Amino acid sequence: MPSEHAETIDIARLRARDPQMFEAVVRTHYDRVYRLALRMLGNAADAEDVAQEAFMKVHRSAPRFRGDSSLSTWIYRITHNVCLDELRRRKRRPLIQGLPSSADDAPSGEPEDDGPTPEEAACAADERDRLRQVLESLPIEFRSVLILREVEDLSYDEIASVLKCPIGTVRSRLARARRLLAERLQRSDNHELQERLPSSAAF
Amino acid sequence: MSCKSVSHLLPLFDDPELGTEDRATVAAHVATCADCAQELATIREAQWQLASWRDVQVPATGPERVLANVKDAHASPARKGWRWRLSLQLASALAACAVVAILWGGWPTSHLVPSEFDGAAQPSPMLFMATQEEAAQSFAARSVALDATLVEPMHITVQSADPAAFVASLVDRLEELSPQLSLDVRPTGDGSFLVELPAVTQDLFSAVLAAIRSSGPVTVDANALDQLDTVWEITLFVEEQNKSH
Repeated sequence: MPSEHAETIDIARLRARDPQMFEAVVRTHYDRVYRLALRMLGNAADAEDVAQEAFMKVHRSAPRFRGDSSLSTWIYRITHNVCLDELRRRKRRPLIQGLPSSADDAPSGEPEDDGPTPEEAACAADERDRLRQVLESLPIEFRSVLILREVEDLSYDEIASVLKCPIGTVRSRLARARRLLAERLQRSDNHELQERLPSSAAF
Repeated sequence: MSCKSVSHLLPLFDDPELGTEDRATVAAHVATCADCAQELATIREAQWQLASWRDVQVPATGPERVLANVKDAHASPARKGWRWRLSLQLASALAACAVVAILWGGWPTSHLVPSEFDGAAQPSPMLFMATQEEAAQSFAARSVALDATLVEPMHITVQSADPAAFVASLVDRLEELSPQLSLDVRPTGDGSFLVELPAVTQDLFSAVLAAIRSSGPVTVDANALDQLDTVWEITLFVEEQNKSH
């Protein structure tokens, strides 16, 4: 998790709300904050809003950052909490869940790199969609722990600190989450296979 | 070694955090059990798929927007759009205690009913349980220097029959109550409100919760509360009662 810029962040100056230091924090951590938000929420627009809000909170709370956890863990924690807020809000606005899934990975119309053929790209997009659907079907605690581990690559320790739970909880939750994810992905694979082979599905 | 006895370790097989002994146990079992070997393969495949999510196109203008927003917020800390920011003074913490004592007929502390994330679905009628000992601890917490404290987010969902009236009433009460309490109120556009209180110390925390409770007939649901040397960043989500059910 430590980034190549981590040593350039002076915590004392950050706590004093030194604008230069805050800027360094934003530039160092923006990608990860945005990615966590995107993977938690599933669409780019919400992810950008959440990243904005998370950094506003970082700025506001900076004077009281004690340094018990690492800076990035603290920022992850703030971001994760803002994500939970957003998901809560979303429960009140069920419409937003109907957003087209393609809103996911194309925040600003940047050109795709020209590696895969259109077919391969479509296939990969299908797979991503399916993964997201399956992930969204999991309890939020499982989704959080999976994303923090597999996507953000945090250690059990760091995850425990982000989620404010004992390390044993991280361990057991992660085991259950992985098993459930694998099961549901497999089920959705089988389902898709059946759809592609109508003759076998018809009888 | 039975399948059952390794099942809780199997999904952790590739984690460096798994102890060598546990890893050896799983490896030995998987070598002789086709079902578990298959399950491990499926789990690994899922992990691998999820790892492909690491690649993200980050909006290049994101950091600039953050920095501009922070500058803005600094430049005009007062009203900004549909937002009230109240900076309020109170004579002393004693006054806060007095208000609390009046509101509660005793000193309350703040054991909120712990909830799951989705716990809003089962609002609990029993909100606070206070003991003298907790009250003493709460007072002691005040002596903790501000910069020696943890900042913890606290998420509270309030269900009210009339969210707008509730928020207005809450603002009034906090106005009476608060030493240097700053408060942001934002409507979410669907009749609900987000109320943010960015720096609430433990002793004030109880008073704020009392104010929330006395601002209308509401059910409150919040995550557990266990640290005294903490500054709370309270986010209140005020929604219409039973709207989601």
